[in-house]
Amino acid sequence: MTTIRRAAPRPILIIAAAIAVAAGSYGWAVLHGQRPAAPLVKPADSGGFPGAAGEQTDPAALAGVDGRLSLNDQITFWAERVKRTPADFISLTQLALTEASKARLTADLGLYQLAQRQIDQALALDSRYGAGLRARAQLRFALHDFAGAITAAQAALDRDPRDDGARGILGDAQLELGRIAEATATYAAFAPASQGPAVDARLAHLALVTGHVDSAVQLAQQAYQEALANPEDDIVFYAYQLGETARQAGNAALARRSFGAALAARPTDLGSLVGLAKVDASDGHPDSAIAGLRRAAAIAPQPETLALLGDLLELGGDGTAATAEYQTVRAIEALGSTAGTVYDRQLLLFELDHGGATDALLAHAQAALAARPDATGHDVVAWALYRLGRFEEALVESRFALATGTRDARILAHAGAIELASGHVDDGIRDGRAALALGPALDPLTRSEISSLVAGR
Amino acid sequence: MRLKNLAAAGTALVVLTIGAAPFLTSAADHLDSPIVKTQHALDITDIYAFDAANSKNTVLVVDVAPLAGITSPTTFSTTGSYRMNLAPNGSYVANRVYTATFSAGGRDHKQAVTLKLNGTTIASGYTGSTIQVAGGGKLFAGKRDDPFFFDLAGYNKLKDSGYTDPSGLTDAGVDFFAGTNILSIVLELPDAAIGSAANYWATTYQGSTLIDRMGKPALNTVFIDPFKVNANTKDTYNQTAPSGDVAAWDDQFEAVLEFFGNSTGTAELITDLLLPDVLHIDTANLGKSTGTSFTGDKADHILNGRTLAEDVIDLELFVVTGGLDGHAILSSDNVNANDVAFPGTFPYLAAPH
Repeated sequence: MTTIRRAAPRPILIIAAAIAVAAGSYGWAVLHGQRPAAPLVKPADSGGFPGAAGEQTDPAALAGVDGRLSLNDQITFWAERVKRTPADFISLTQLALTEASKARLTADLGLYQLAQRQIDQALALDSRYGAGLRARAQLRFALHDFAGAITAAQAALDRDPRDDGARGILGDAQLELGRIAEATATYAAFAPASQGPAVDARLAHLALVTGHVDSAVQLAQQAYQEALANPEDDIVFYAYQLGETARQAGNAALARRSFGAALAARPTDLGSLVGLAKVDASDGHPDSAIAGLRRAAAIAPQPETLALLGDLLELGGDGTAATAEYQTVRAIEALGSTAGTVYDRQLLLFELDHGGATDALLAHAQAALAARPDATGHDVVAWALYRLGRFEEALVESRFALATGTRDARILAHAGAIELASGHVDDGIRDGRAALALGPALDPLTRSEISSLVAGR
Repeated sequence: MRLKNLAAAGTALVVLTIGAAPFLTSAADHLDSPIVKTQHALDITDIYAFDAANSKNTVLVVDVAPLAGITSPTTFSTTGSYRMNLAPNGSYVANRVYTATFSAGGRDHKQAVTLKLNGTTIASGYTGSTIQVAGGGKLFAGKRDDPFFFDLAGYNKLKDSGYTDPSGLTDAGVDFFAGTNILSIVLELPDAAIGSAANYWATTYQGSTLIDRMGKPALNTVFIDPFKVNANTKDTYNQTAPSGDVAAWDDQFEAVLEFFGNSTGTAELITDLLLPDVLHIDTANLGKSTGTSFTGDKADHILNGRTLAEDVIDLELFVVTGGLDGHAILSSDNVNANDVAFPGTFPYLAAPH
């Protein structure tokens, strides 16, 4: 285990973290319209790899594709209309949706919250405005209020049963709550006319969550190809999703290629920066990984990014730099409220791997599981019980996690450790090795811990 | 009774604007079907036909890309095509098809445009410029002010209230499309090229796939799938050729009109006027597009072309809500003119914002 040395947190990063924390389910928000938002492209004069001199770090300032205004300018456009006609709930909804698009790119929780308040205002003016109801569902989801997202999506569907945008959010939220059968049924109800990348991307996610890894990669590839054929689809998102699916399937080459394609189109794409860094770390390029994570953290200091950055620095022998990153994670943690809700599992896993288990942490993990009873929720509780030495109870939770069919590398690794500790040696070796075989899907710290456990058997 | 009719009117109005719109509801026919929703550059918003400044010429317009620069691109599709179809008087099979195609924009963002008549190139040039057409006439393609005007929010409010709250339409109107742009193709032709009378409609294609079509304003959104049962019907409507409109859709139109409170006879009359879904052109009696308000003798111009300043929403409200039977519930959205004046000279649509 990495030891934590207390150091003064860096004020700028902490302030940034307070106001600009990323949604943990980065990228999925793009699916919450009936179609993904328009992609952004880098301006012609900002060539070079991310981090090159002159790089535009505010993705919302980049000119939109095919002559569209930048997101920042679109926000100004809608804001001026709202100022001129405060009762114009259509423009108010568009303002909120455009801000949500920016928040998605910049991982700005505060902006998501502002957008959510504006949607509530718009719906106060017209309580049955369809686009407003759908937007409310989208924002609830982005802020990890999955039950709220379901309620809002249902309201939109009650108003218009053909609203496949709302249907998509409904299924996504059901999936996040571990209601796999319901999500499957919801996705099956998409109209033929809605078929395309947005649907296939969802089916890819569903396949991944249920352990159908090959199907997941195939569907993500299909979604990417479909998106390539339509200039108005967000290529960056689909490239990112393919990369992430391939990474979780252990296919480093495909993951690297796909993240590269995403970053070529949008050098500031957070999910792809972090994903590529994970592949770099797994492929033995820690310096590239650290550089990529630093770029991502400069855009949005997400706990997972900072923790991984800290781990790589620690493993590279730079304990002081690592501690600084860990301190920032703790500063986010201390902020509580929304960031705590959005990042609860990231923060819990961070503490379990970097601090030490306590009964309070376990209680927190159990509360998180109650709110979101999916595979990861069970895994976090299992891992807390394991860290507390309560191996038999850990085994029960671990089995709940695996019952979804998931082949998630971290869940498998945790299961392996728990099985070994509880005397199920064969299962432990099998699951531990399965996790290790997934290459870039497993983070370096967990890999190191599980390798040593399995190696001794 | 009034409430019921109002509710029906509201439904009609919604349809006018929202349809299956995924995201942003727009104008008369903006974003009206699932297929067009992600191909904004091929999404037809409105078409117009009116008398040119030189009365010996006629102007045909097709507008696409609602809220160009915001939700839609400011460039025409480079893989699609834009067709202005003309059929002889009494016919609904085009014998003159003007097809515009576009290249990718250069560093100055101008796109090369080529216009063909029945496959023969008759004009070529660049977007944003006036292009001479072989055989007489001129062409413009580029970003302009959206000439459509409508109180969209007031309308939605009526519909979303279950048709109990008309205040959004009866109060001072707010033109949702003020300050917004579209991409427009404007073709001015000698009357002789059109003949004394013809039928005009526009279509867009992606490759050989028909994406959208439009004739009279908002028919798809008003009459097709008004109760949101099957959005695919809207695509089916868009895929129908005008020559097949009556056989395919007249029962549907009459049923919707009767539901909205029109008598059977009136519903049949209106349907006969609306279908096939084309703009009829009688070149000798077309209105002009100038200033901000409709001028001329309305009786001559209704169902003869469509000028930029024509308040089609008021007309549709009046007709759909029983005006021809003498009991119109609503006859105006209180937005009666475009936000900027039309110049009255080529390319007739106002400069973009």
